[in-house]
Amino acid sequence: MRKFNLAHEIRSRLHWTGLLLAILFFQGTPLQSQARGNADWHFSLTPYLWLSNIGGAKTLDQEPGANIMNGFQTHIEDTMLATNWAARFEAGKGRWRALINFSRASDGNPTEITNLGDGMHFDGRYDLTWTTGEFFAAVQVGPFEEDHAFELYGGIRYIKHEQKLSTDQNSSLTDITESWAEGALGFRYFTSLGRRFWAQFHSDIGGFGAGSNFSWTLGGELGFRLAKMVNLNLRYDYHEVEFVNDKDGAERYIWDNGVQQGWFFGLMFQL
Amino acid sequence: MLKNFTLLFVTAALFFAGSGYSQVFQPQDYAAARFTASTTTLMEEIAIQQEINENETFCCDKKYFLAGFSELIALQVIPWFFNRHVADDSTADLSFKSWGHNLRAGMEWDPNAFSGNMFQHPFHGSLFYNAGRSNGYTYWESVPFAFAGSMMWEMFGENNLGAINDWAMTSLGGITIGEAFHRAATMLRDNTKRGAGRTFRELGSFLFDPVGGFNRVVRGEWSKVGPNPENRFPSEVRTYSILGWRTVGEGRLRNAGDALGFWYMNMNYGNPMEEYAKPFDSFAINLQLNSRKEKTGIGQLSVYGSLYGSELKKTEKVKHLFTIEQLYDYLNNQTYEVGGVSFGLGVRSDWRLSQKTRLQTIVQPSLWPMTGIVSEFTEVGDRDYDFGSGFGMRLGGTYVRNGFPYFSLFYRGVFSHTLNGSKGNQIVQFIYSRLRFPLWRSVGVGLEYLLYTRDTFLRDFEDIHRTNPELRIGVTFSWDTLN
Repeated sequence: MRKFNLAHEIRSRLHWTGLLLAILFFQGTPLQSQARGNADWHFSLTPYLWLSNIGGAKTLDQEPGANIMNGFQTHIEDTMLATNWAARFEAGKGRWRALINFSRASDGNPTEITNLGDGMHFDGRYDLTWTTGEFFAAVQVGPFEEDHAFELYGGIRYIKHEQKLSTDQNSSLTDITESWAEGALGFRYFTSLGRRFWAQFHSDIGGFGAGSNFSWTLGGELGFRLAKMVNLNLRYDYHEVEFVNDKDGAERYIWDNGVQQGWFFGLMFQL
Repeated sequence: MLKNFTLLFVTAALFFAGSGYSQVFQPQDYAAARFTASTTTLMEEIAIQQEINENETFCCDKKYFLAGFSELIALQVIPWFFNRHVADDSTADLSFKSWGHNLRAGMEWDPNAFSGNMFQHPFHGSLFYNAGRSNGYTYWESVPFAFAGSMMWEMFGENNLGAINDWAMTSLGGITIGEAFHRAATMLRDNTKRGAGRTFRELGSFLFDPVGGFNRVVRGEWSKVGPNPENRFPSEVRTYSILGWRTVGEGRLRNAGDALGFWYMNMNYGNPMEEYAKPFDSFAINLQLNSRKEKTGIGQLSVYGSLYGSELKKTEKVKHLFTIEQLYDYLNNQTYEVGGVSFGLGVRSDWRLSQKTRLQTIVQPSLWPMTGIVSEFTEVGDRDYDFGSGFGMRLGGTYVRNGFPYFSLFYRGVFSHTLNGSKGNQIVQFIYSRLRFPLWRSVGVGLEYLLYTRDTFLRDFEDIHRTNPELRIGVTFSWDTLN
């Protein structure tokens, strides 16, 4: 089966993509419905393609640096992930908004594995699927105007890590799934940049020992109103998490400075 | 080189802040000048008035996106050119390959020194921010310029990976410093002036807002005579300065070392209880210069600006105001390296105790997206501090009699969880008390007592608890200007 190549797929359909964008662009005057201060209900749904990257030090089985066999630590750096996606749904009325974020990233790339027992390095395969679901409520504080806003948000973040460590000799050295839910609190800036452009920035912290030990997010998004109900979005998110489960032995799982970040390319539909 | 340039820049800016304001804050706006110019003949006055009112306009009745964006690009190219061709820095060897790698690999935490990351980067960010602000964009609309400019630099300005801490500090710190400097530069500029005085003002404002100054040169506004912006001055500007000696103890004050010279300056722009309609309608800048024996020349820079205010209660006796403030902090001395950006949500109050006395208080919890706090166990490149994020609290009050702030007592605390560095939590607390006595006109004496504490709880190392009291004494100077 031919390997999926995003760049090739886009190039081969460039004329269709261009035609679609041109139709959308001239379809009508863009609305300011992304803007705040809208007293009526408003909704948006944004699917994203995600050029995602995961980094950090993950320890399976034992504490970092433990001098025993079967303790493995993987340093995952510069890992391009493929076939990743995300989506965001927002509903709002007046000062209040509800946000639902969902993302799923899978890593199937070969990586170098360090055996903590004797410091030996060998090639292996580390498969990780990172799923994130967030439900946040946001309230606009500060000026209640249409073209800009400062919002506080808070809610629940659910994270699930499914991972499998294998080598040619052993197809399943470790197979662990870990999930947790945690609270998070943050803020968002939103500003409109004329009729067609808008930008948004957000940061939050979460965990605090309930769920992960700590998590931290910083991100920004640039939007272009393509048509009445359609926006093109470019977003960058950086999410860092520290997680240690409360199990021992083979089920011990530590995610130290785990980072998930990358560029999102989205198409936002709004009502 | 960049550090020296920044120090020169800030020192020069301070010079203007200290000496230029006493002239600037006089009520010399266009209207006042027009009616007080006794030596000007009526015909000359009419001619000037016509020239000002009818012939000249100043930026910006519309937004200049292309100019702002071009300046954003120029602010990338100029430092890159300097690094590549003057400093011969290998990180400036750029290629499509390095750009592609940076875009794919994402960001990391960088190993640079405290002053570079927590002080110089926010200054760079203030230039990005003012590329928008000085081209007709509002505070909110200029925020993306800071974020976008910083992201461009992190992804394309150097061949090493971008730094997430730089993106945060350059953007959020740059917005805070940039808006304060934009306002300060606007006060300094006076479109009604001519000659050497005008040039002096334009040069002074250039130090605060170089991008805005450049735009004025390009648009011919550097020497053009015309009306000033309507909101050039706030209702009041209060400045306070103390020049003297400070001594810091380890554990107790009796263990203090030699007294060292310092110069601390504070400027309060606007009345935070009254002016909050737009972001930074009121703000405060605190700045401390240390003697040569200290680790760094600039010991402290903090900028606190109001984003929003809403009156909660107002009677004859008391006024309560809910506020949101944007804060930037940088503290760097022998014992402490603490800095970061934060947002405070709290209540400011003005209690009228009697006809002559009042108490002004603040209770402000805060959210810190980014902190930098010194750590004994962190040695990553030039870095001896941890990056973190957390919560804070600011409490305090000032006793005012006959409009003079005799006594102030403030508490500041931050709980920070390490994001990068020595894993664990840090709690930094800071108590600041100040006693002032007026002697003659704007001159007085001041006595200040400060207490710093740092409690560090690390996963892989032993806990650390430090207490450092500091005593300061000196001559105080105040300039208060009410419009």
